[in-house]
Amino acid sequence: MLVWMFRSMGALAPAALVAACNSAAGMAQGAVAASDVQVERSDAPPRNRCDASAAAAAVGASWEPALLGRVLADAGADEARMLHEDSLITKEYKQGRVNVVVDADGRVVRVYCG
Amino acid sequence: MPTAGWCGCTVAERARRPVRHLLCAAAVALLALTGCGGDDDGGAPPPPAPVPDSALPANQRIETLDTAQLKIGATAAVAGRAVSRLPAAAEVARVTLPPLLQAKQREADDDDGQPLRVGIARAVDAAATPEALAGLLHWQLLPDGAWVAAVDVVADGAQALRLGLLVQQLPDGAWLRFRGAGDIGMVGVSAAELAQRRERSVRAGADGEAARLYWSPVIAGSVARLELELPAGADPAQLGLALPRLSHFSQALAQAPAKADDPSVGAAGTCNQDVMCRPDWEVQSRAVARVFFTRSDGSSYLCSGTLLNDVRGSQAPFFLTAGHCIASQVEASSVLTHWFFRTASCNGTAIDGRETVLDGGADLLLADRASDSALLRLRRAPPAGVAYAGSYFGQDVGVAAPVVGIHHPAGDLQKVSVGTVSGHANCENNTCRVASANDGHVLRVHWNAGTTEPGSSGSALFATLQGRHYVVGSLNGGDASCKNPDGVDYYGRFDRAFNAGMRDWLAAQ
Repeated sequence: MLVWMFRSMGALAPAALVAACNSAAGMAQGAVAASDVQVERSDAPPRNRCDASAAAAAVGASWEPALLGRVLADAGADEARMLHEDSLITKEYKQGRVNVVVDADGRVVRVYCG
Repeated sequence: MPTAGWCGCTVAERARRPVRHLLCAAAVALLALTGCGGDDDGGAPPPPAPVPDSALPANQRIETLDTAQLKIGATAAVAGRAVSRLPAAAEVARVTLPPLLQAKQREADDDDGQPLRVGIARAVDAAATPEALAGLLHWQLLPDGAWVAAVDVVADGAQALRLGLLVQQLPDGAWLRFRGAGDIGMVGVSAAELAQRRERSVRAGADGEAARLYWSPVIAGSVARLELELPAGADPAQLGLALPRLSHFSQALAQAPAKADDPSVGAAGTCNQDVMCRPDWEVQSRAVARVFFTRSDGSSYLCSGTLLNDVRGSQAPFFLTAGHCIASQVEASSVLTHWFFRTASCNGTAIDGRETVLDGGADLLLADRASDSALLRLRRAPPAGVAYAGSYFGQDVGVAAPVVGIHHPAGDLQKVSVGTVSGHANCENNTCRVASANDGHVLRVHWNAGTTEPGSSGSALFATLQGRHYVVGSLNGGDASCKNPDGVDYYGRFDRAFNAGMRDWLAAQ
């Protein structure tokens, strides 16, 4: 079973950094949630594994929320989240997480674990 | 191509991605609250000029300690070693877990990918309650009145195991000992130490099962032995101990030397630079380790961290990382550190022959929320040849100060990034906002070479003052990446964390 949720870094990082808000000068001035959409497997325990290459077919696709569930299943991960290329994130590496990076045109440009 | 506005949202994107739109709307509201939107420091007082070399009082820094330069190495006696007291003829029950495939673990022995299968959490149903475990133990009475019993747990296919024990009732003087296949000795932990750890976990905010859960050291192989010893006069029937889960490592984390097939090797983006190509930072490189840890739900993570020297040069293994990596004693207890995980030479393929994984966990000494920094003390001595990094906690290093990050992006072999401080900020309640040097707890950094990635969190930011390298921050996060080289990273200021309480450990006389 997949659980859809809006990303809140609070549970992971009390003083977490979160999304990108860029001024014209490119300096971060404020922030909101880092990952716009996230899905998780709800059937614990975590498997702590992720195979991004198995989900590489998503690269080039147009972003839609349902894509995240497919990437999660293909990668065999515990959690999948969508990020933008300029999303601010805390930089811990979660073994069972797959990240889907979407560019400004709404295309998936990268799928990676961590 | 649409032009990005606040938060990178465009009208077109909002139409396509309503979720994103909502969050961006929230961001705009936050910006209104925080005054976000101006250039750089947003009208705040200008930061002070970089610290002049002549103004570096001795009481504002701790120098680096390079154990490679000492006559006596840094390796101390490993604590917790113990000897089995189980009679050779004693009966030992064996609990065998079903194969991973039968346990409904999604198996992928395919060769076309690089699956990361580190630390799979598995239930041990046969010993999940105190009653179930008690039924497996065949107690032996020793001549001195002590009781001893053991149980073996088998997880075929595992390269290493960690046992997750729930401690409810353990008499004073009791010992738990662990041994893996081929191990000559055992690793032991006393009831008193377990009680101390539980107390620390409670103080750190854990409660219930999370506070009572103890993760054993990593046990090599697919068979883990748990041996229990109760002191003379104790009643085995009063033991309150369960073994509800274990962590199944498909990769041999605790076995050196490094494997060329470690899935993390080569995982970092190609813009990252091999730390061994910067010999001027080689000493600091030996202070940096890759950190594995496990949360109470069984999820495994990687971060980076740095060994810190104290004013006494005591070689106590103080270790700086990010607060969002190690936020509780439960997580600290699960820590493994991986040393010398770097190439043997600039851009080489061979790994440093001194590569070592250190288990035994750590104690969480202090977590400073404002700078997202955490200070640990490793429970075992780091390997010989490490360095204890110097640190600077005086006047702010200042905007435009050259800085260097040493870290393990994507858990890969150690990398180095070179950049400059571009401002200050504060991050709280999921919001970061620009601050002045006087108010900010976080340094903002732009990179000229290299970057950071997931796995880099907690790594130290170094500045060079009077020709010497000092830790001045630890990585929280950011939007910098190989794909976004103009992005920024945020480092918690070390001087803030030092003054928030780390001084009590690092400057104690």
